[in-house]
Amino acid sequence: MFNIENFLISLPILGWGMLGIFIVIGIIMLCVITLDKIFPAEKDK
Amino acid sequence: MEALFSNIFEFHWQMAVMWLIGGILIYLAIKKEMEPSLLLPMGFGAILVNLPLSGAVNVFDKVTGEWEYGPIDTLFSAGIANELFPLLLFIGIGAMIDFTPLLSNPKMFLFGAAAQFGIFFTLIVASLLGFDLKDAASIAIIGAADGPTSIFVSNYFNSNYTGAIVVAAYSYMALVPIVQPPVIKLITTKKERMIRMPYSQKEISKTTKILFPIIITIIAGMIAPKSVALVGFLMFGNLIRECGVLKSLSETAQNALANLITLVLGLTIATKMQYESFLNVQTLMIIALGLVAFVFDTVGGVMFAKFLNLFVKNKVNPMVGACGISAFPMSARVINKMGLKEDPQNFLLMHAVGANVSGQVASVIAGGLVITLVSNAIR
Repeated sequence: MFNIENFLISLPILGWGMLGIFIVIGIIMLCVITLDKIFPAEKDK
Repeated sequence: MEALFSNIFEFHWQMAVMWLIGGILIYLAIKKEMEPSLLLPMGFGAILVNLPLSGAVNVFDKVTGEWEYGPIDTLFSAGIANELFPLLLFIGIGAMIDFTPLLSNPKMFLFGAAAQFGIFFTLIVASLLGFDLKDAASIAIIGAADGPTSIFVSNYFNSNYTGAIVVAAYSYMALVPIVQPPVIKLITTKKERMIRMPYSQKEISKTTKILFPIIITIIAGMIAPKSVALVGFLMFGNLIRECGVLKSLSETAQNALANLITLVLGLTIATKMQYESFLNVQTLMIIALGLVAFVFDTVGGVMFAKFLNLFVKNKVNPMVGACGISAFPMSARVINKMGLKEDPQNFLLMHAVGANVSGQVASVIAGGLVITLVSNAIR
């Protein structure tokens, strides 16, 4: 019933996937913080 | 006379079961208002494609010995097989989203990432249960809590279970108010749920709002290229909204375009709900795995908030972590309501919306990562 071989193949995807999503989101977050520093709302006014 | 009723002899009892399922979807859409724009066309479509020798789908004509092409299958080839409809819908969704609550509190981005845990967890559970890696990835993406992403990924992998996956994805999105609260209560204390998070309105410059969709597209394209179509169309919609000079296009994308695509999408997906491929044990397993995905998305977001609280001075209400799931704006509303129930003065809405919007971005990126990682694994 259980497919251990498939499970072992998919296990690293869990790790890499979560690492990947945090890296991408982390970079986006840093970009947003930087954007806010370079272009603060006061400058618009 | 015989010719008139010959079609009736093509009837199978499984068709009646599919009519019942279609009826249930229509009932949920109308009576319970559960994602009516999708569940109603899907419910009707389920009936339409499960009529004996239905002319709505491709049928092999025994007399002429040729295939007769049905409009629903034709629409599927034209708009879903090449991923066009979900992508066009993303322009509309992007035009609808206001990222300001997220841009004014970038910390909320992290919850969007954490709450994608359910996708990857479900992937390994589905693999363990015997689904091949492509189908497991397609099922796992139900955890993206985002219909177009589910359609995009399951179709990319040419999954045999697209119908069941889409039904599960949209159903659980509508069931967020029922799924999330008990899970959150199980893994948080009352004290944690009462943590107050003061909110101070912070203005965001127009330049930032315009550059944000462009930069996200570039980053996603560089790191997770498979996600760039999804992210790009979503962000293009948002750019139309924020640029300030395309008001009528933005309104068209938000209303006419999104409505039109949704209308056709629901009906078209029904082609994957023909009884031969839908009525099986795997469909029940997919419905169960969809629940696993939503539960572990919630667990991932909440546990990450609790983990973050070990290091930060201004504590985060862990319930906000659960909003990192992409079911927007349902999840934010649910968490705000739960916060007010615990403490009538605890207004979590703006933080919850920030995390929820982050979930929209993160789920799309997660979809791209799943495609990239699974494609590499099976190569």
